[in-house]
Amino acid sequence: MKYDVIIGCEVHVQLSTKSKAFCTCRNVFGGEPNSRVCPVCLGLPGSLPVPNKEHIRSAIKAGRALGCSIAPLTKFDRKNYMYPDLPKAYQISQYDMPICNNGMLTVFTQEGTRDIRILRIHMEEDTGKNIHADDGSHESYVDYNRSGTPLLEIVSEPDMRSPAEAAAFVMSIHEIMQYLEISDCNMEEGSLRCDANINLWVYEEEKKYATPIVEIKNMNSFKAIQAALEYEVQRQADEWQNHRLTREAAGKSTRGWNEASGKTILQRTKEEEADYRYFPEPDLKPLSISADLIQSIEKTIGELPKEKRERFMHQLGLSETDTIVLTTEKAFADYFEQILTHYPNPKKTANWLLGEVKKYLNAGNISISDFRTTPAHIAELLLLQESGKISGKMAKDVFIKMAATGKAAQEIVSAEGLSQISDRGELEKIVIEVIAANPGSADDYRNGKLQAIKFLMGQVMKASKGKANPQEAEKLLSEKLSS
Amino acid sequence: MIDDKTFNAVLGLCRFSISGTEQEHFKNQIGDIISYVEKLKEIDTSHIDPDLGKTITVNDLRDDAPGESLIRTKLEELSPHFENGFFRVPQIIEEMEEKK
Ligand SMILES: [Zn+2]
Repeated sequence: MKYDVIIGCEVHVQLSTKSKAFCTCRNVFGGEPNSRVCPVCLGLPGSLPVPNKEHIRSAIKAGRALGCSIAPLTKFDRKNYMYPDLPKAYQISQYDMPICNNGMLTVFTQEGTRDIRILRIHMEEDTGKNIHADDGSHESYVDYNRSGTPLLEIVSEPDMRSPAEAAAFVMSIHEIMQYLEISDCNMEEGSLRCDANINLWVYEEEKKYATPIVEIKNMNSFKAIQAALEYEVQRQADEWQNHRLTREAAGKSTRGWNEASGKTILQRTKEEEADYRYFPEPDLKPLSISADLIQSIEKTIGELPKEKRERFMHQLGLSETDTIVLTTEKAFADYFEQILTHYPNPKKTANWLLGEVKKYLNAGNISISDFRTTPAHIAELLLLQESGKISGKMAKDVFIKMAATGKAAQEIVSAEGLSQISDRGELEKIVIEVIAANPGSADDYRNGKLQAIKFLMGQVMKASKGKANPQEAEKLLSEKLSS
Repeated sequence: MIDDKTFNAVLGLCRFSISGTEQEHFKNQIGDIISYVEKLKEIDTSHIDPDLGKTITVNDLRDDAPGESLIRTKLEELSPHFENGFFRVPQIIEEMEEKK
């Protein structure tokens, strides 16, 4: 069976504004149910929405970062449907005049690169949350804390040709939104959610057939996106072989990804599809957006992941693997660059961050923003090591203490008397003593058994209680033995 | 007059269920509303520019500053079915079983 996979994505991004989209209730995650609700986000009669400037600004920022053109005139519309988590029975959204149009995002997978067109980005509000009662009462509980949270919906063209590309697309959107600092992008908390439309183009005897389009919902991680779409490709291929239903004959349906069973489950068919009866939101006037506003927001965009990666590889000379790990999270990349302002050695800094620091953060499940040790402290530690004041081994021990206490490197080194002996005079004294105490090994070395220096070095380290600078000590040893 | 298909579609969108005896009564009423709107559609507006009315700019909007929300006792007053911090509503069925 020969076919192409056709995938388009809709990504919902919850914005991390201080207040909600159309009211002043605080916009944060979780908390006591219904503790951040008011007449507007509860949809009480007589209440009126007032848009949040930051919602518009974030939409423009996201749009420009994704190469979209910004509409000079935009408006809100009502999307009508009945559901208990939608207290007004309509969602304020945008229909035919979205704020951003026609962008582009290039994604990279093992299969190569692909340009994914962005059809549009529009602004809307989130719904409340239903919690199903499990007391057999046939009732549900509703929490409206999330109701009215500002969202961006990013809609791609059906340009992805594999589940891996779809996952890469969402990952890339995730990364860019994080770099723009307009969303916390926490997928576990639903700050970034993805739905995908998928079908197949089947090639049989010179003809092309499109299978029915299926919208997949409820994919809550990059892994889930890939797994759900892979399952769906197989399911649609089997369906085609069993029933030969085309898109024209069967239309669209909606399926939900079920993580536990590893399957997509039918939720809605075309006949049951909602009729949203969009119409312009009469409570909100159309909004004109000036070129000046767009320009002033563009200035706040800063370096995007792709540009940062290119700079890290080409200007800082880092490997691709190191670059990717350093730049996936903007806060981590920022931390790295702050160290460089005090200690301009990218490779050594990268090794340290990706080694010791990453190991420590991962073990304690600590995010870089919660990490007590400052970039300046790491720089100081690396300088101490480079100057030979402490050894590499000591640096690792000092780091663990720094991370646990938040203290500076020098403070720990002084308090614990950890400094390494690099002073030539001091080292010379130890080396001469060790040679005198081990004449046999010294003779072995002089007679060509160069291995003997290893034993003597061990004695130097022992005599210095591990504090001798190994490079300096070894240099001195061979000097003294050869003289 | 509207056909049964349209009538049932409208009832479905409104989540109305209407008993047998009232069917005709409401079918007439909804039919009247729909034919009124149909009549409006007869007006030729092709030569008129869609006027969105007065527009506003971002400066006219609200600053992103949080304010007060409603307190629990007020919510209890507002809703007859408020329990443990939640509004109680009839259960919603989320997923259909795979059709065989
Ligand atoms: Zn509110």
